[in-house]
Formats: sequence, structure tokens, C-alpha cells
Amino acid sequence: MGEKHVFWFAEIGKDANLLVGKKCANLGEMTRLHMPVPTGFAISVTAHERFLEETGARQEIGKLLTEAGDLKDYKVSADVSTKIREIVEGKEIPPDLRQLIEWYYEDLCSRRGGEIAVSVRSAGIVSHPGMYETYLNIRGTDQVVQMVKKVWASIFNLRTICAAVQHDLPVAGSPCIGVGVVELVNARCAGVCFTVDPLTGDPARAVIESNWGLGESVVSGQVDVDRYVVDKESLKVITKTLGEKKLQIVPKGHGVAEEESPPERQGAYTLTDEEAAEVVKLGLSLEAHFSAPQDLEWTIDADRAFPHNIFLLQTRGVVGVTVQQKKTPEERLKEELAKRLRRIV
Amino acid sequence: MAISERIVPIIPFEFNEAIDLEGHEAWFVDSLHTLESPDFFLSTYSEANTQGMIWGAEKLPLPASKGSEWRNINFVKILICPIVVTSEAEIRERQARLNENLFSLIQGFEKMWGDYKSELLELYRPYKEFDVGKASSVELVRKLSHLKPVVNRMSEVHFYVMYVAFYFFMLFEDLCQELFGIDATHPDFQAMISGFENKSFECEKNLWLLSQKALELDLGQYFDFPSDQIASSMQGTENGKKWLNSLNEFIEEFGWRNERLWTPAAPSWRDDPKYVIDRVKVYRKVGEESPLVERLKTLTSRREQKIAEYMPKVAEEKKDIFQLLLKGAQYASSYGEEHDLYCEMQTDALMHMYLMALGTRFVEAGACNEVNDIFQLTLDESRVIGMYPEKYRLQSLIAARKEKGKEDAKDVVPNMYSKTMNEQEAFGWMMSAREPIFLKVVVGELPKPKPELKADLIGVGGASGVAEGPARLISSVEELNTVQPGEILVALTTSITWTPLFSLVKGAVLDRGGTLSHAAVVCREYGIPCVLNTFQATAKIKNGQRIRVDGNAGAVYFLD
Repeated sequence: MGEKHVFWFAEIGKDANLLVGKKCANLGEMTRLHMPVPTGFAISVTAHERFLEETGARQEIGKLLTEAGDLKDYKVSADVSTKIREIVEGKEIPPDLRQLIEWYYEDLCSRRGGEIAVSVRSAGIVSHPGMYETYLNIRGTDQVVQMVKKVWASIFNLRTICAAVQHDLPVAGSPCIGVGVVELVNARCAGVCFTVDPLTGDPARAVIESNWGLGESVVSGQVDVDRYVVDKESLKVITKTLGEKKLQIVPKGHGVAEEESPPERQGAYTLTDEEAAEVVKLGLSLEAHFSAPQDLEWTIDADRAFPHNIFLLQTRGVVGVTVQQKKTPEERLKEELAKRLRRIV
Repeated sequence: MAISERIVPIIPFEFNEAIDLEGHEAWFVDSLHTLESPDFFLSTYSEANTQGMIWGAEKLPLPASKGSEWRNINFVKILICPIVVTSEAEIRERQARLNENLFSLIQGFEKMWGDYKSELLELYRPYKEFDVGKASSVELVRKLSHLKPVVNRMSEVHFYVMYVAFYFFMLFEDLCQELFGIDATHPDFQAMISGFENKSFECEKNLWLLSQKALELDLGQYFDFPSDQIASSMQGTENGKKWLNSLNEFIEEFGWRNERLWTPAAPSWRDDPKYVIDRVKVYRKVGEESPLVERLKTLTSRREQKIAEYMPKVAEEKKDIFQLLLKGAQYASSYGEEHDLYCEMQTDALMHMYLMALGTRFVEAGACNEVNDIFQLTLDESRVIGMYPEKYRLQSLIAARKEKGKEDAKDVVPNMYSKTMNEQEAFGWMMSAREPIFLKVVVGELPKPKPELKADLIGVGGASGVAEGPARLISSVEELNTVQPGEILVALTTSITWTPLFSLVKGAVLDRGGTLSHAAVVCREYGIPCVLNTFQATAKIKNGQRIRVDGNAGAVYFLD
């Protein structure tokens, strides 16, 4: 005992991966750097472990798995996943842990002078984008606690089980994760920003993708969204492409809904050039801090004025992009000249 | 022994159908530089031009062309045959080399052209300083022999820098076509590359200043005299002497040029001040307001305004390349206007000086009757005879050549010669070389039919604007004096020696010429409309007929 299980973001930093998961550690690091990050707190990986052990969930899961059929069979895995999640979500969080979560959430609410909406986010020790679940627009202490359990349960979701089976790893040993409880920004629009062009690997350009509403529609890659290419030196928007933006994700009731965007929104750009420049500027300071190109999630608060309306929700090193040697403006101009020449010969 | 027996059967660079049509796809007539009368110096130019173009095309290199070969017909007409690169692999390899050079060429253009100007002026200097009056004929022959490589070097510089500059122009035109859908005939395109000071502008400004100085010194009355009597009449007065001093200073700086381009036979401005006085008279007609300085200001501000107007339409990522190529195209325009003053005008004037001196020795030796008769000989003939002119009696040969020359000048030659191609095929073949001088000067764009305009003549817009006035047909420099303010110049083509005219006329209509030919560049710099490549203007328009020139649409209307 005496171990601390819940942390304000300001209390943790990038070395807290093992403690609270990567996403939370990064949110903590950004908070320490005085980046515009929504307020929130992180629940430790140990809290997750304690929950599974102390409630007996781990044991029950182990038993279920030994009795289950061949997990390589998709139907079997799906059934197992549903059953495990029922087990986990049906357990009560150990009272001391539950009380901590409640205190931190209520403290957050009292700072804002009333009940606030939050997102409850999974944070693996290693970054697995899209692996575990995240719940948006959650209000009220009980709901928050319930969603923390759901996030914990998501380490046994079908994706995780299939991945474990595929790599011949024990499903029961699925690693525990941290959870972030983050104040929900009333998003006008949101999206991602790469501080290197992910298509060409050009390190002189940043690329922003953006849609109306919450950023999840952009992260999922399902919607044709707005695209901005920004010159990192001048912070000027070099090209922008208007996306169709047929769908948007917006808060609705307890949670969110995917709905068709109004036509006038489909035909309009989500970001001003000055906002795009500001997002990139934040990305560049993170790139400098981490000494590597970054992949950020950001959102624009509908209720605040520029430049105080930009919030960062996530940053991580860009993966899967071969970053080119940085080009001087002269080299770039020479390349353009070569292209022009090919046209007229 | 008569010289006629000594001439080798194949005169170098004279067009020989039996030989020159073999292995040469097609020869095109350069109507822009065709002479008014036979000039036996033409083979020297054809040699220099061939060497200059091939050297220039190799140095750049041009991707799809290795320059051009030049020939002449009877020393009157000029033929050009482009050397087209046909192998795809070779074009790609040349393009890659051009690509290596292009960027630094644009960045360093001003310095490069500046260095070449100094090199050329330095090459000319000893020949200018040499006292031809005291030299023996054999000394003059030696000097002439040494001048030939100077002419060749001039031509190398001339064509190399022209290829460089005009290539920028073509790249900029292509960019404007892509970005805004406008080409070099569009008024806004032209506005963006006009309004620069250069040597040609400086020369014209000084001519205008001379006209103003004459007014200030109260010498106006002298200008009613014939030009060749003005200098001698002024000698007697204090103010007259002052003005003549200024005139001499001007000639010292700008006098190394002949009355006509591309012929050493034409008199040089240094021979007689009357040629400069002719120009000053033109500026007297223009009046007291400095049309040049005002015009330059207008063009400069219009240029800045158009660039500011178009710049926001350029996507951020294309702004750099737009600015770079804009600069390149501006160089091309300026080079097109001023290069003659450092290149062929200087060598023409030098050749004129040496040949006149040698001609004097010929007359003294009894080889011919008039100094000018030397221009009935090729340079090589003059050098052979000049070794010991006392041995020669050329009177009958010269009389025969003069007689034949009159007939040759009347010859109508086709637009091209080819054994295998018709005119359309030959033009297509030539276009494939993407040779900037062919495309932008000598041949130019062919007019697109525009029946909706209901115009009397359709050409290509060389300079924007619309003007109306009586037509003035000019076929040679001697007729420049007939032009009255407000008239519209109609001619086959123009050359730099005609430049003062453009202060006087309201517009120009030319039979031939591309968007970088002399008339187009000068009209843009003078802010008057110009329509080029009408092919039939001089045949269809009558002197004094009122016409309207629409440089925006490339159309000409007959008003009566």
C-alpha cells in the first residue's frame, strides 16, 4: 500500500510509460512543457492489475480460456471475448481505487464549477493505436467509473485476442494498461498532424488532416477529410484540399454519434490557415523536444478564441515513414525547375 | 587574270540545292533577316551564325536541337536548317545536362551577360584603336583576317546567351499557361516582363536629350536644314560648337553601329553625324515631354501592379518557381532588346571601317573605281586581292555583279526547300526541335484563325493595346524620315536601327516575327500595340490607309 495509483497529468512525464501507459505519459510530458493539453488524470497500470487480481477476474478468465475451444476459430474467439468482457465489467473496482477515481473526477468538475464531460482513454505501455477502446463524452462519477472498467476490459477485445493467437501468445496474459480521463473539448473540428509529409517523407512539410466534430472520424481514416500541407519554415499553407466530409462524429447523449454533416459544412474548410499554422507550430516544438517527427491529435475548441482554442490530445513519434534528407529551398526550386523542363522538352 | 576565274565552284555557305538538300530535311527562309540588296559579306555571317548556334546549343545544351546551319541564296536570302536530335535517349541525356545548368544560369544571368559584354568589348578594343588611315593594304588584310574569329566569337556569345535567355522565356510562358491560361501574346504576360532600363533605352534617351539640348541652346532653326548640312552650319556659332561636342560624345559611346543591321556595307554612325542627326530629328517631332522616361515609369508601375495582381493566384508551393522564371523571362526581354548593341552592330561597324579603308587602297591601286565597290566582293576575295591590289582590275566583275544583284534581289523564293517534306510537315519537324530562336524570333507562332473577330488581317499579338491611325509602309531605313507622329508602322520586319521610330508611331503591323523578335520587344517597351506574323500586311495595306491595330486580339482592321 501507499503506492500512488492516480496522477494529474502535470505530475507525470515521458518516463512514466510503465507507470501509466504511453498516451498518458505523453499527455503528462506535454502538460509539463506547457502545451495546451486538456486537464485530466491518469490511472496507473498497477491499478488495472490490482483490479484483475483482487476481483478474481484473472482467475475466472484463465478458467474460461482452458475450457474454450480452438481460439483460431473466429466464432470461438468472438464468444470468448464477449464472455471475458462480461466478467470484467461485472466486477466491482476495489473501493480504495474506486474512491481515488471518483475524487479525481470530482475535483476536475469542481474546478470547472459543475459536472463535465470527459473522454476515458486507453493507454498501452507500448503504443498500439486503435487496439484498445476509448469512450467519449462521458458525464457523471458512476459513468466515469463504469467506463474505466470498460477500457480495462478492452484488453480482451476481439482484436487483442486475435492478435495474441496470431503471435502465439497467451490470451490470459494480455498486458495491463493505463487509463487517461481527459476533459472533453467542445470540438468545432479536430484531426491529426504529421510533422513530416507521411506520403513523401519530406521533412520540410507538415500535413494536417481535419474534419468537423471530434477527431475520431479522422483517426479512423473512413472519411474523406480536409488536407493541409504546410511549409514548416514559413508556416505557410502550401496546398489545401477540401475533403467531402460526408460524416462527422459529435457528442450525443451519453457518448457520441456518427452523423451526416450539414451540406454547408461539407463545402467549407474546417481550419483557417492561421489555425493550421498554429497547430503545426505546436507540432514543431514537440518534434524539437522529442528529436523526432511527431504524429499529433489536436482539436479546436468551439468556445474559445484563436490562438487559445487549440488543444493537443496526443503525440507520438511518426512510424512507417522514411524521412527524407531535409531539402534546402534551393534544392526544392531545382527540382521544380527540372519538372518544368520535362514539360517543354 | 580576272578574279571570276579564281572563284572556287562552291562558294562557302551559298545554298547549293544539289549538295544541301541531301541529308538536310528542310531549309527555311529567314524573312526577318533577309537583306534589301545582295551583300557579299553574308557568307561570313552565315559561317559565324552556324558556328555560334552550334556552339551555343552544345554549351547549354538544348535538349532537342544542336543548333542550325545557315546558307544564303545569291547573297540576298538567308536559309536556316535546324539540326534536330531524333534519338530519345540523346534528348534525355541532353535534358539532364541542361537541368544541371539551368538553375545557376538564371541566378547568375546578369553576371554572365555582364562578363560576356566585357569580353566582347575587350576583343573589339584593339581593332577600334588601330589607325586604319595609315595602314598599308596588307596590314589591313591581316587585321581583317584576325577580325573574322572575333565575329565568330561574337556570334557564339550572341546565340548562347540568347538560347539561355529565351529558354527561360519559354519555361515562364509554359508556367503562365498552366497557372493562368495565358501565353506570351497576352497583355498581362507582356506587362509582367516589360519596363526595364537597358543599353538600348539609354541610347534612345541620349538621342532625345540631344534633341532637348538643341532646343535649350536655341539651335532649333538648324534642324530644318538637310541632315548632312546641319553640322557644318553649326560650326560657326558658340552654341553650335557646344551641341556638336555633345553629339561627338554620343557618337563616341554609341557610334559603333551601322545604319542597317547585318551588313558592313551600310555606313556607320561614326562616318557621318547626319545619321545621328536623322534620329535627333525624329525626337524633335516627339516634343518636349520626355516620352522615354515617362513611358518607362508607366511600364514599370504597370509591371509591378500586374505581378502583384497575379502573385496571389499562384499556389504557395509554386511561388518560388514563378518568381525565378519571371526573372528569367524579364532577362530574355531585355536581352532581346539590347544584345545587338554589343554584338553584331559592333562587328558590323568594325568590318565597315576596315573594308572601307581597304576599298580606299583598291581605288588608289586602280583595282576598282569606287571605295564601296569592295562590298561587291566576299571577305575572302577582298583578302586575296588586298595582298597586292595593283595586280587586279575588277571593274567588269563588279559591274556584272551589280547588274546580277539587282535581278537577284527581285527573285521570289519559296518559304522553304525540301526534297522529302511539304511545308506543313517541315514546320512540324522544325517545331519538334523546340529551338527557342526559331520559335520565338525567326518563325514565331502561327496565327490562330479567329473568324469571330471579322478582322481584315489576323496575326499574333506582340504587344498589347489598341490604336488607330494612318498606315506608313516602310521598307528600308532610308525611309524612316517619312514617318509622321501618330502613324502606324507597317513593314515586313524591323531591326534595332529602326528603334527611334517607335517613339513616333502609335502601333506596328509586321508581316513576320515572333514574340521575342525586335518589333515585339520594342513595342512592349514603348507601350504601343503590335501585331506580328500577319504574313500579308505589306501586301494588303496601302500607305495612308487608316487602320486599327488590336495587339490584345492579334487583329488588324481596315477603316477605309
